[in-house]
Amino acid sequence: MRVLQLLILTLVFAACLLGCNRPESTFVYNTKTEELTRDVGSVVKERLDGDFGSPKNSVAWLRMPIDYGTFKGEVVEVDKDASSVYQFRVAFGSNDDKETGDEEEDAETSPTPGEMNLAGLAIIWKSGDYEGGSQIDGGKRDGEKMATLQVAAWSKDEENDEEGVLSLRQKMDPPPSVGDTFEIVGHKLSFGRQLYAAHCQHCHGTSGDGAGPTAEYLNPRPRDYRPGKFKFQSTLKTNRPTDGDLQRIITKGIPGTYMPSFLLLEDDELDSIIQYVKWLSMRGEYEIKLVSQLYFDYEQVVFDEAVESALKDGLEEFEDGTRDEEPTKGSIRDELVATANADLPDIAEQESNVLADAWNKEKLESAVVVPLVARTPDTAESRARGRVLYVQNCSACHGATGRGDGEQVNAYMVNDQTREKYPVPGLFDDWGQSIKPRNLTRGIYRGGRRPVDLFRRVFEGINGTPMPPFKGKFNNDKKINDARTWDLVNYIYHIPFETRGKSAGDSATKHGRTAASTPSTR
Amino acid sequence: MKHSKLYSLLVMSALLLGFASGCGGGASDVPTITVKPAEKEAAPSADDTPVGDDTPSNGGSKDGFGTFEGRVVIQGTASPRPALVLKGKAARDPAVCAATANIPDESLLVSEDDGLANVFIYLKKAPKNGKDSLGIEAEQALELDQKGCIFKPHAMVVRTGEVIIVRNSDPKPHNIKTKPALGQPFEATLNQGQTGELVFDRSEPVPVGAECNYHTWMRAYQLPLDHPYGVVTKADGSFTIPNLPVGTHQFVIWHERSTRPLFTRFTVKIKSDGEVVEETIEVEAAKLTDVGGARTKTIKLSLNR
Repeated sequence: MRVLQLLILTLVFAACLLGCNRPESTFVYNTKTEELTRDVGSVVKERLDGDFGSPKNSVAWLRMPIDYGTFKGEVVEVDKDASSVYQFRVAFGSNDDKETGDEEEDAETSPTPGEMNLAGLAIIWKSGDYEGGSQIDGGKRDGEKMATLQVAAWSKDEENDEEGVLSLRQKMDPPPSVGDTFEIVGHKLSFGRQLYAAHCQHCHGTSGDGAGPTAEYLNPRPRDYRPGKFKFQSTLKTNRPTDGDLQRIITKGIPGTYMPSFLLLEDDELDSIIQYVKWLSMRGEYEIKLVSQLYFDYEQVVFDEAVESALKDGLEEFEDGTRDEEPTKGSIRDELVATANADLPDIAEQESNVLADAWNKEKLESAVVVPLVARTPDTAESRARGRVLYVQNCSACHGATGRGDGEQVNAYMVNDQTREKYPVPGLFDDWGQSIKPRNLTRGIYRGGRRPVDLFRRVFEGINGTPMPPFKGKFNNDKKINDARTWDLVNYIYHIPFETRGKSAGDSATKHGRTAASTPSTR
Repeated sequence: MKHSKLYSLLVMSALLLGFASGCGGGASDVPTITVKPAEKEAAPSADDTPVGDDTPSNGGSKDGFGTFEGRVVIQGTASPRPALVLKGKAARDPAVCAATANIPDESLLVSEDDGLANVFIYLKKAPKNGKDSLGIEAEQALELDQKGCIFKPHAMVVRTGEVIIVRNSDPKPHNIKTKPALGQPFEATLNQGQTGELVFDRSEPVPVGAECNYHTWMRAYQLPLDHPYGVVTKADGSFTIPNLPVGTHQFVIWHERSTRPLFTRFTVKIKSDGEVVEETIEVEAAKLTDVGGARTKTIKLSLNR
């Protein structure tokens, strides 16, 4: 008894002593980044951290087409006697551009923070002495030391929603003038991060790598956002999803998987999470692309060989007299690393522009798949035509009866990364996870059950999976092709209600099964 | 007895205290936001030329052009690859695929005199004072056919922006999918006689694999470059790269059976106009087995890490 008590007591004491040591949340780097030679790898990481920051100190890189969230405001009162200030009175929303104010609603163009916690957000001056001076250090302009001013607190007046006192974390010396305008940037990023931590990160991981603590118990695995591939989107397969696509997945969830519906989130919460997920995805893809450009020269093993061969060349040059100093392994290594470091800014510039272009809103909206013809009426004839297409095009994977048991599940696929055959037969996705063709007899459609969702899955395929696009395959005429696609969609809706061993046409005519037995989805 | 009650009270209160102080989730952590402008950062100094010696600093068209030619040969014996699909044993579409003969594994093609085919030899970046065309492009047809469930040709070099006509000559549908490391991926599903247009928008560091979702053994490689200095070795392992400006060049030599490039800096020096540099590039057979074979794992112990 004594021993037990003593044991419990020691354990409790130990727990108290150790405390709840909360681990610092950090982004993890890719395996390939870690495989780079140390000097090059550290420069890549430095750049990545400079451009995107960490979960606790995030960078709102304005080049990326992300709505970080902006509040426009104006200084209305400053302590005149003080030589430097931490806080001053401001007004939000009222000083919006008059020209644009007519066209759109004020609430749209100039949101006010209201009761929102603005702590930690960045402040950018748009007029006055500090204009363009997000780069301010200690109150003085300093081009070299870049530090953004951050908000410490915002307390709204009780009677007026738009005015209040804004406190900063850094001192402003000299103080700003009355009438100076500014923007407070990043509330969606900050709010998004907090919501992501609460709702998403235990599966999708802090870095959006789909490797949160819960992930290993789930099948299918949570999405890894970093390659910039999203399965269920309305856009063409090679494009990124629109905000609307991400919103649909978050609010509706993915039926048949562990992705739940977050329908109860408020609109602003949803928007913040979407922006944060996009930000994580861009960070991940940026890293992958940067490393892709360097990997085949600076991966540790390759790099060691390159040093040897460059040393040989260098020694030859030294003997020829074209090189002044006798090269050593160290000097050659430094030279090669210096080449990588010199190349990196250009690579980063290139990749970030490509990435910003890929997520460009207008570009995505023009890439949305819209059927050219309205849905073909769901008749027995239409389903019969769909059945023919199904047997020709889909049954090899989804099976003749739609159970997801086609012969293709016995084929061996090749891992694209290692160029090796997977050890087991079956289909694999781009993330290297085993996946099964959907069982269509259950009527559960992961990408959404609206007719247009099914149309898009057939038309563009599913990104990152072996589900291929069938656009233009059913007929060379685009309109007829779309009409055929609708026939196939009509048939797919009918599969769960099919009598086993009978085709759609048979069951429709012999058993009188008509549209009534198919879910009315329009 | 009283004593033990006191103990449990103590323990309970300690536990309660622990709960109250809580191991809070990350949700309460408010991040700090810093803004990074969209514009390009100012260059640190005017001197931003790369320090490396990848490109010849002088020379150029005035000095003329030379030729790099030779053969890639295999050293040692490479056991022939077993057929990918045996006759009549195709998992899918056996009436079309491997119907009359085995589908060979084209990932390692060695000629009788040890020449290694389908080796990519290329420069990463266009050389200074290089030409726009090598004058040998006409030999490479810009067509990727899918016939008998085999991609033809197996390996090709293309220029960015060039259109490769993808064709399906089989009576069964094919699908072609590329996954480039940098550029835009491509995917098309084609019926017999249908064609697609495959265009690479960016230069890639290594060749891009094309595959077919339907016939999983099908594979081909294309290397998109934004300059003409890249070739694939012929069946006997021979290659010719004409019009190389005078200077030092670092070639990448890549073969699909090695996960890493065979050489990342194969140095070729063209000293004067009209010079022909002839090299026999020897590749150890053991180097070409690491894909699909047993792979050794190197664990490095270092104090620097």
